Amino acid sequence: MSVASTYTSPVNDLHQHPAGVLWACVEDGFHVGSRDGEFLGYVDRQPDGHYFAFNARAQHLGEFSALHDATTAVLAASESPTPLSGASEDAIGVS
Amino acid sequence: MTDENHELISLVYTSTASHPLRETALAHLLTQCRALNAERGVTGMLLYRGGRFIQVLEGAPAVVTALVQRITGDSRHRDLKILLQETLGTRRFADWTMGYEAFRETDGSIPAGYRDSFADLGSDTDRSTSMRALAELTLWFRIRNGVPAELAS
Repeated sequence: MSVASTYTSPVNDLHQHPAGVLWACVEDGFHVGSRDGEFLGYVDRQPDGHYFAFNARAQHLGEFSALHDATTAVLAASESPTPLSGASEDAIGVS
Repeated sequence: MTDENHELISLVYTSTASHPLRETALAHLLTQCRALNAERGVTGMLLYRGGRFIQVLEGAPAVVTALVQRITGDSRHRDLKILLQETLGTRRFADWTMGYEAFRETDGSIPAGYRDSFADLGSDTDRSTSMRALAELTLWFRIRNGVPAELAS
């Protein structure tokens, strides 16, 4: 048995998403999140390498140095006590 | 583009480029495509990555169907496969006779734990996957083309 087949990289732990949450990469640096088919928001890497996070209404949530932190911000915003109305796939034009 | 009292469909297909396209050839293809689409009331979006096309066509059913038949016979395409077809209430790409946005240059790697929207839409695995991937690509296209946040939301 090779070492590679049994070793779990701690880095990969950063990519574990909460149940039902799916992140997709549309192009290098542009990522869209959804949960059970519901659009959560997106992350867009800027020319300086920082990541801008946006909620499902395309409202800016902040600037982050790591992709993981930006996606975490999108998830946190989606779980806020005042949910966004109309925050669904309809919001981006595909129903 | 106004569509009052006219039935609209959206059709998404994928095909393989017969020969790898350079930017100039792609620009020529888009120029032809946009001129024809403007005459026929067709709108949509073209994606190209790694020798594969994904195109969204919107318009009257007969017009879109005839256009797909024409593309099937176009020597620049092969292995055309229809991925999605649905009735539309309003156009998603009303402002584009054929929108195109180049993907950022990349080494092709996708971060661990992330889906690949282009691959998911082109793989034709199941309708929900295709619809999700199309929604992601549509959002990206709109953002890249400066659609104001209030319209993207």
